[in-house]
Amino acid sequence: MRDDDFQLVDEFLAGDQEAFETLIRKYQKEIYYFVLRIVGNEEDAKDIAQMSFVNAFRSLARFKKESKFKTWLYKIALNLCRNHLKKSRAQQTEELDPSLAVEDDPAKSVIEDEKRVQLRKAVEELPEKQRLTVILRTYKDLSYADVSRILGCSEGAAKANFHFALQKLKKKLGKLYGLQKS
Amino acid sequence: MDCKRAERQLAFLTDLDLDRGLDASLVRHVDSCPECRVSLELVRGLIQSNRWIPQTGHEPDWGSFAEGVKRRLIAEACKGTRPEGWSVRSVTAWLFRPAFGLGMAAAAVLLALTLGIGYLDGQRETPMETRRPVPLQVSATSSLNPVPYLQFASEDQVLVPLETLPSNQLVFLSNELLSRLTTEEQLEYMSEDLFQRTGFTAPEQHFAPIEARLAELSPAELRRVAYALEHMIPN
Repeated sequence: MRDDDFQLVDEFLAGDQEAFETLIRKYQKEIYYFVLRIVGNEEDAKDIAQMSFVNAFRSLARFKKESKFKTWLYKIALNLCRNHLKKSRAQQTEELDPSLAVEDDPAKSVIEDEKRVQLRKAVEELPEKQRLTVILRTYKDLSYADVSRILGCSEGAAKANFHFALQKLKKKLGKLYGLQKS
Repeated sequence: MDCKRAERQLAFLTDLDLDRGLDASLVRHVDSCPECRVSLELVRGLIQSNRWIPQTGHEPDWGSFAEGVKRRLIAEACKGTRPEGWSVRSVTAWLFRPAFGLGMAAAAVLLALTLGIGYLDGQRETPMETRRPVPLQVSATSSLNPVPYLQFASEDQVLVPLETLPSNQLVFLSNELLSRLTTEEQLEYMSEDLFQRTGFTAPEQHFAPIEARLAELSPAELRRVAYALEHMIPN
């Protein structure tokens, strides 16, 4: 089955400007929230998300379709995030208030809240590659193949990053999760 | 199932798996293994945390998001094709900024020195016939603080006290410093239009007001101007 995104890319390259707008509308939220998770600031996230599409627009003619359009777009967004973090030297993202989250379960317990806050904090403290792997892997269920393409590493390295990240999180949060020795 | 296999499964766990229900053998294992149970909880927490959408009240207006991308593209395109030019307003503002004013004043001190020494020596080699002599304190102060003197463009800089230079070389030095100042400040056009390397163009027009201002300065203020010039022109 032909990828819908590839079809839109082809239509855009053939001169249909609307096709690119369709791609923007399709991925704008996904890219914005992905960037927000990395940079932690709404204004910067919006700027970077828009610039991701600008860069994609400029490079679309060079897009070789070796990966999904979505993966390619994530890669562009991630590079911009990395540049932004380097520039601002803000390796730590701002703490987003978890009480503002959309909560499915109205009977949420204090412990669950605490776990969520601590987990988010622990993820922020992971080394960059592990942190990005965790975010990419668990955000929108990207496969390891996609994660490795976005991060520019091998699939094995992406899996290893996830493994080590999990070990670190377990070490840090084991007690909170009821593990005797952490 | 052992821990190794359980962790491998956990590494591939997706949002869908959580909704659909976990593999029975994995469930049995985590029930009996606290380590893997924590791993499962962590992965579950990570996946659920990424389902979480922050509602901070600053969510972009999605209707105009694509429009914003278009505006950025247009802005980028304009930036690429239009050469950066100086508007009269920006140039004026730039010229009157304090740093440049100070540099101009400092450069004028050197000019004044040149002319002052020339006046004392009775050698009026500069074209500035109408200028007034500068107080001697300036010369004395400057002799204590030698300035870098570029003898020739291709040579290394040497530090020389101003008094050791003949007045014609002081004129050259003043011109050189002014030229370097304007070039380093990216005001090449000023360098060409106002301060010619081979002599001052209508000097009284440009320097008389500065000299008049300098004449009002105390020796201490003049000293600060001289230091400022040294700082403004990196060695």
